Amino acid sequence: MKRITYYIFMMAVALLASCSSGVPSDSTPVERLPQIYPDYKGVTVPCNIAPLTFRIEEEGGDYVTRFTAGNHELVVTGREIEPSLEDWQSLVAAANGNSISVDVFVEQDGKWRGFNAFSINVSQDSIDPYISYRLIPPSYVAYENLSICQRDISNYDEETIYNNRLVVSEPDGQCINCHAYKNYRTDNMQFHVRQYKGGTVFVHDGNVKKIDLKTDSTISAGVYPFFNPVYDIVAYSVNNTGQIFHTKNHNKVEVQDQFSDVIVYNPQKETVTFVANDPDDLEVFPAWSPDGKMLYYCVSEFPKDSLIAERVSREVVHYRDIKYDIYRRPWNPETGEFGESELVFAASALGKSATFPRVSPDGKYLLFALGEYGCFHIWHKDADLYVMDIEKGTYWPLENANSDFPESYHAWSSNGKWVLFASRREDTNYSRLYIAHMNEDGTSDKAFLLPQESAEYYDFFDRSYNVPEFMKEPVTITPQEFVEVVESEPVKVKYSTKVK
Amino acid sequence: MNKTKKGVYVPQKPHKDAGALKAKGKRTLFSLVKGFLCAIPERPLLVAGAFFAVLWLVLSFCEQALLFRVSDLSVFLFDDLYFDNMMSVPAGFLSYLGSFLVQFFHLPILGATIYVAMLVLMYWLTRKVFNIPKRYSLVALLPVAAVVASNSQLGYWIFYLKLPGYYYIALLGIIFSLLAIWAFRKLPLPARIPFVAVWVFFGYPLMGVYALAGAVVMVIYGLSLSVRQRKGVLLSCALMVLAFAAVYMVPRYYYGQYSTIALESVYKAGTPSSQWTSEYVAKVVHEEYSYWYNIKFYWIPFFMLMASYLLLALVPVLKNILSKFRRLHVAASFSVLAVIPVFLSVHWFDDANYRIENKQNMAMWDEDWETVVELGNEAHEPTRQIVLNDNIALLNMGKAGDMMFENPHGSSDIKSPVGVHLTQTGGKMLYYYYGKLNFCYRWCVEDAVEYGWRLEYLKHATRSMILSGEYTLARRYINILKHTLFYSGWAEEMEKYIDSPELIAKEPSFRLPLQMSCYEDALTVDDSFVEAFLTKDLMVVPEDATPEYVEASLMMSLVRKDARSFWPLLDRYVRVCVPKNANNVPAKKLPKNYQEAYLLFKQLEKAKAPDDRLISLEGLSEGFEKFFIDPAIKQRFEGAFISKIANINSMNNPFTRAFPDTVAVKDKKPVKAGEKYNASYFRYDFSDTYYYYFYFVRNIKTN
Repeated sequence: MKRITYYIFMMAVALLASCSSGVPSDSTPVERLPQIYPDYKGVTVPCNIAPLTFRIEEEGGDYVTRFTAGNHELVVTGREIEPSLEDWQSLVAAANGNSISVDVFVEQDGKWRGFNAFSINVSQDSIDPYISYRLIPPSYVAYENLSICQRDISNYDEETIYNNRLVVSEPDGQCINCHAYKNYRTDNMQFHVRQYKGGTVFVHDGNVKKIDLKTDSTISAGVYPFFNPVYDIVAYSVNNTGQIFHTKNHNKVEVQDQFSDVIVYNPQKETVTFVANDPDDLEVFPAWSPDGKMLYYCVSEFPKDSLIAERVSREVVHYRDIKYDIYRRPWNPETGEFGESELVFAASALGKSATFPRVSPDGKYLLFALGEYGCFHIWHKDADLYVMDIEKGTYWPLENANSDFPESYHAWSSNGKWVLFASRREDTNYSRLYIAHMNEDGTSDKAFLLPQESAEYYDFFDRSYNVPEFMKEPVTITPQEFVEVVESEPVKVKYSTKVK
Repeated sequence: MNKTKKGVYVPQKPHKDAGALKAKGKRTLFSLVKGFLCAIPERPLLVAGAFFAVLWLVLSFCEQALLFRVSDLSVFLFDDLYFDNMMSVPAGFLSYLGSFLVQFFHLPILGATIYVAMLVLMYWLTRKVFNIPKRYSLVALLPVAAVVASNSQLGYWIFYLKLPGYYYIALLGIIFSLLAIWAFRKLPLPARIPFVAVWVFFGYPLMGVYALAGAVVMVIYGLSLSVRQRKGVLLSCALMVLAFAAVYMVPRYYYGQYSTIALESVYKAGTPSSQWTSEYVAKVVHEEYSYWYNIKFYWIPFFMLMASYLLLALVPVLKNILSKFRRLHVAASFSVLAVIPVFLSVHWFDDANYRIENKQNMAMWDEDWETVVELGNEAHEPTRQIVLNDNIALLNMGKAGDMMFENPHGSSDIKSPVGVHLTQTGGKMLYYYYGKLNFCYRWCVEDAVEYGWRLEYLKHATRSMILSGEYTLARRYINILKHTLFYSGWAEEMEKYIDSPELIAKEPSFRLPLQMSCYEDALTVDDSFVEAFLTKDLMVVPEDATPEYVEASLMMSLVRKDARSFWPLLDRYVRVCVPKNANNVPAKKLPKNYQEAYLLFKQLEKAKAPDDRLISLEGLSEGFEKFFIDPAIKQRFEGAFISKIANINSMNNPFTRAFPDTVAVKDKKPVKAGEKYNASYFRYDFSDTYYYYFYFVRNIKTN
């Protein structure tokens, strides 16, 4: 009974404390911004983003945080700032395209200290309501418990699109990767399943099938995909990929292609056709222009050996010399023919390597990852996001989005106002998702970390986010429905010399 | 039965034979044993108590290292995300609670006490729930023994199981089910229907197969009681049908709710069903038969568990038949007492090398290097893990060159149906001490993917990232460890090195890995073979290699029996590692094993034509040996060893190639002598020498 009385007393005290919390009337100013994690100081967010939760990284006994937007004020107590959805929405509505001012007060030794206010800018530019990504432990060769998930970014709801634990794949295991959508819609989408029951799960106009993209003429099944946003074809790279490990370098791993080409898959004909397959070159990361008439991809002219063992040896020793440039080839949807390839960005001439080209929805900018070498920039600390004005040929780093750690796997929102990308800046090993607001001039505002319900979520979350994509709608096919397709026999595609 | 004032039950009628013995008053050994045996059925609780006491003693004092390892291969975090993650699969609640309890094995006596206490609870509940009379109560030990066996049989599976909290899952699942069956029995018949439905529907996500099995036992027991009481039989039958339908339907329903379990696994949630299959272990080919290689063997305790409870559930209906047997309780008690020791001894993974490995691991975390070496000496034929642990210990102690062949060498087979790789067992520790910090970290991450993060991985990841200067990453793991019960202090200790990196170089325990990190970065792979990788990798010695690195390389050349790398490495060793006095004269002789290697390889060189020699022999004796070779060691080799060889000549003998002159002298009457014979002949006098290792420790299979 004593214990019950004690709990009631403690709850009453807690309730009282929460009711009486307010902004300290008397505080000593601290002439700097407070330390918070995640760093949401000065970021620009869309109005429909979930509440930004953060932790105040200042030592103190008590904490009060005041959000002010117009005449609206929200006061939150405690070190972990986790506003409710309703409170946050009211706040954002009050900001109405302006900023939310955040004052942080910390009590130390009985005295309150007030830090300089920081702002959270609320943009009037809308953002696609859903994103999807693969959750993967930041491993190298092992894969267990991989999932492709979708998230409603206006709240914290996350759903599984597919999880490799839905099938018993022991002892071989099952890797899943490379989800992609046609034009931000989910009635045409795909993801790959490797090893156990391998194949590409392909949703074509709402119908799900499993296809085997490997043909006798191509070196592998499809790998990095990109749906043509207008026409009914999908570009893939085909890759012979290996991993090799640094004994000391903090990058830890190199993912290298010994061979790679670019193909196009026609889902109506069930055929694949080469786009770029120079035996001396490595061609990878295809990406269509928004009008569907230009295919961008990356090319490295590094390897000259014909045998895989020789290539591996050379790539191991000279891995820093593997540089990728960005090329493009026009495509005629009438004839299905590709035109001559054209160098778009000569990264190798700068001693760099450019990967993952993504054209903005207005066709004006090319966004890509630029690093010192190689193709797998998500493991390269020097990799940053760069933007190129396609018409002028000028390029610049996306400074407000970049960090000293890897940035890659970037995607444009459907209106081109936001960029979603993965970065390992939090702890160098786990990639997290960031969203940056893009300005008209091709620069970005400060990127913000995808908010989670708890401020300490990322401290314990032991999987990396990769290949994030914006979506206008969620995937409605259930994971169990995908399982049925995965368990089925794949449709074997054929090689054709013509796309159409 | 009567109850005395002290509350001790005594039999109403003393055992006939026991009474007779008393009357005779003779206390021969035979009569004592007989008296003891006769007392067993009458004092079952005492026997059960003895069983638990022995179990506690064995776990607390004989299996300390195992329990510590089990706790280190688990993790429990006081964190919501951890809870959510656990609950994302059916039976996750049992994993959660199991992981919570497993952490107490960190303090083995405390862990063993909790474990045995839970077993006692299970025993008591089994008796209560199934109304087992005291004189039959030893029968309730059968399921307890099955639970113990399900854990004691694991062996190397502790590294490979993908079921967090495994040690407690069955135990907790049964305890909860027994409580449910108890409640079920107390309920009126009509109320049992919703109870079973609720139990299966809400129990399945929490307890997986244990909720299903509990429901099956529950309704069979209910029907059995109804038949016995001749009341509500039809209702009980209907309930059984309903329960079976629920057991079939509910997991399928949850398959649609979870996205983390396969349809074919839903009826096995909470067991290692995805791993304990013939397909999973099929890749490993074993040369000799052992039941430890048979995956079906590992399921026996679970079948015994289910069979025990089904039998107990059917007892009411069989009561009339059973009551016809006189002294059935005596037969039952003795049967149980006969079965349990045999069953447990068969299912207890009592492998000396496995035990040594775990003890060494515990000592290595304590940096108690002398104990590591002492343990290594206990092995008859050690596994590679033991040998490599010895070498790390000796390197840390600075005694590698003198003692590395004192302990037994070998590569004993590992009793496990799965392919056991050092990467999962002790490879991370080896990589850490050999300064391969990226590889240590890499295997922490790889294994965390396969088996989930575990304390051992978190500790290795923390240490290796601190030493490689990746403080942000190290801090991540420190923060996680701070949320554990037993490693928050350790984490804070580590944090101080991040806050003050200048302390790292001053910390003695970091000396060896730091000194071993003097190499340049390279791209490479280990293909999961730690020793093979290390021996190969250490053959490349950097220009500015530290003495520790040079010594480790020289050690590896000896292990590889590689004369080609020995000579240049010996040269490096002499230049880098041997202290010189003021006149630049070596201040001491070479360590014993290096002297032996020198003498042996020189002898081998002598046997070659001058043009084929790896090294010029001229001047070695006068110059090198004067400073570095102890005459006693030289005498032991050239005198005692070679003389002994001269006595066992054989055409098939490896010495004929190494020592042709010696053989030639004594080759008048060759004697056939097998290598095993030779090994035993030489072991007594020379087992601590390099040349014994070189000739008689053969067919080493690196891991």
